[in-house]
Amino acid sequence: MTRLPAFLGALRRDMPWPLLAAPLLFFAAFFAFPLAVVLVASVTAADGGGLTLAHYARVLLDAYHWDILWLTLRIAFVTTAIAMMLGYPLAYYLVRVVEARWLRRACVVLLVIPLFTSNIVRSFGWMVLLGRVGIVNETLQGAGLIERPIRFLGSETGIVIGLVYILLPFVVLTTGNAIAAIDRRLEEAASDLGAGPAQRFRTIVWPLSLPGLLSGAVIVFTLAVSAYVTPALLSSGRVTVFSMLIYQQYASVFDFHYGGALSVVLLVATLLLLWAAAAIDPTRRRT
Amino acid sequence: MTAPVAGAALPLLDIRDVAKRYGRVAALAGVSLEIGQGEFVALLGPSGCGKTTLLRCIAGFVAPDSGMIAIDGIDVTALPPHRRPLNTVFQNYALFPHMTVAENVGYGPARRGVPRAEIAREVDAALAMVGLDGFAPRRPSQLSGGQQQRVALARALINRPRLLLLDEPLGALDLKLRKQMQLELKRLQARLGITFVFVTHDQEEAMTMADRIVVMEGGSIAQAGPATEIYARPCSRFVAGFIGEANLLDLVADPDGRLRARIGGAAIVAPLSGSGSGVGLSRVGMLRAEALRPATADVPDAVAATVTDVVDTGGQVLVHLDAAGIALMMRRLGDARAAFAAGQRIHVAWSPEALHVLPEQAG
Repeated sequence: MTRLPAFLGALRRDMPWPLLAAPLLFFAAFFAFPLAVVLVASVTAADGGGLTLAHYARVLLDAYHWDILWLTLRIAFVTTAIAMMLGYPLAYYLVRVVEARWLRRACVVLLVIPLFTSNIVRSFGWMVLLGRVGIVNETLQGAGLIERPIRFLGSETGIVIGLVYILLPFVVLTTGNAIAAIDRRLEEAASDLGAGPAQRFRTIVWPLSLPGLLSGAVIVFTLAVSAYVTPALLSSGRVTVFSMLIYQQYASVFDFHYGGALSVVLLVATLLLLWAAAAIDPTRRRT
Repeated sequence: MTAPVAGAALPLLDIRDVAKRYGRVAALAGVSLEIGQGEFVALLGPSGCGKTTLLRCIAGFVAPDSGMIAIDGIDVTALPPHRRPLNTVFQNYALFPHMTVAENVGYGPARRGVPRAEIAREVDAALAMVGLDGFAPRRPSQLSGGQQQRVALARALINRPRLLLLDEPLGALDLKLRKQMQLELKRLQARLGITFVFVTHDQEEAMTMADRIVVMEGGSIAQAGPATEIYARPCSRFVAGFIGEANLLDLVADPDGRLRARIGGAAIVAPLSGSGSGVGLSRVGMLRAEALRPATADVPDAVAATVTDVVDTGGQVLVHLDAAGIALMMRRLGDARAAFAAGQRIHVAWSPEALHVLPEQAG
């Protein structure tokens, strides 16, 4: 108890309150408050009554919800894995191989421009490309690689393709920053100590860029888990992910209590996975 | 160029006509240098003189436009750094931040496929050699600058290179630690017998540590030789001014075949040596600051001067003088500081043999 006043004193000394006021207010108004509303709704009875865990029971005891949760996480995992595999070489190429600055800038702009476009527009674009008579299928058929068009739309594959495309820049940007921050003299030192190009990559560049790759992966994973527009458009109503379930409850059924419980379950599941990932993070400081 | 140390039939490092341009700037304008086994050589010069570029050419990080570099008689000009039989201590050390001290030091042996247990033993020995026993499990970020410097040294020396390159190795240390490391490096080099080539812009550091100093200017070697020789007989205005405090005097040949510079009423006289003789021939003479001494007016050739500044560095005082428009510097021991004050009129003198006449081509 005696430590509390000291703690408050330290807080007053070390926290620049005027600087923090604006973000704190914003955070409270647009994040903490809505989240609290959702939380409260998820544990109160629909008839305006007292506390209840009935909504959670409804979510967790229904195998259908578990199937959808598993499907959602699977899509997010696969999306994250592919985005990492595509993003790392791309980031390395942009930072280390492209020498002309204007070309690097142009590439980064090309990479970022899609982020300025509406998700809906881009997803519609993919619908055109991935449809039964879309460019992708026609090309594959024309090349004689497939006989019948592949069904991308309305499948997990289609959703993953759309999500990877939309989320790839996050991996490239975080990884690219990490690679660019590596002191080139470290590689010179490794080279001086007898390491060839492959060994330099394995022992210096890869471990030092891994935190960037992983933070990109976390961003991609969380965005993929909660993505709504892309899965909704590319699923053609045939595949349902968790966010679509939540949307239905809020927008069509108007059951804020059940919808709130669904939201909290998805949030907790995501947080648990991120926590588990952090616990096995190979880049964590060993002290 | 000075010959390599006696007994070395083949120079360990043979640099021939190495040139490197960056755009229009010639970083190295055809440098040739031989360094013998076991030598401790300093590449000395102001920033931009090409000393670092030369070191990076030797290490293999910079490919020369022309010329040849051989180590132990083997042409390594086209070899990448990881195939050259040398190691480098980098400026700011370039320790691997994601590895422990032990992993840093063991990096070289691990690349050569030395077994784990053997690496651990070698790492312990290397850390003991630089006085860092017990630091193996730490991270570089947990070490002081001096400790990081030692780790960098251990990381290079564990590979038992024939040649160790050091790029401003002590530049980031404070003065006291720096002096201590200078002596330690010199002792270590003498004990291991490894050839050291180190780059510095600090003339005192070069004089303290090196057997031979290579002074560089504008991408070329201005002078190479033992420290004492470079100090006593610099070959150019640049070298004279870069190392120690030098008084440079313009001398003109008299009809009697002697060089003279007139300062106030007195004349500095030096015999004209070498081939070029004739009235009006001009040369530059150098007097080290410590060659000047206070004198009385009746001493022959004493020069009258006004004290303009007294710079007290503790052990020594540097007295700046104005002798009829010519600036002179006189160095005295610190206990003489009370004898001088700005504005004071004094006389100074020196012995004639203290005057070194720079070679003819000196600019």
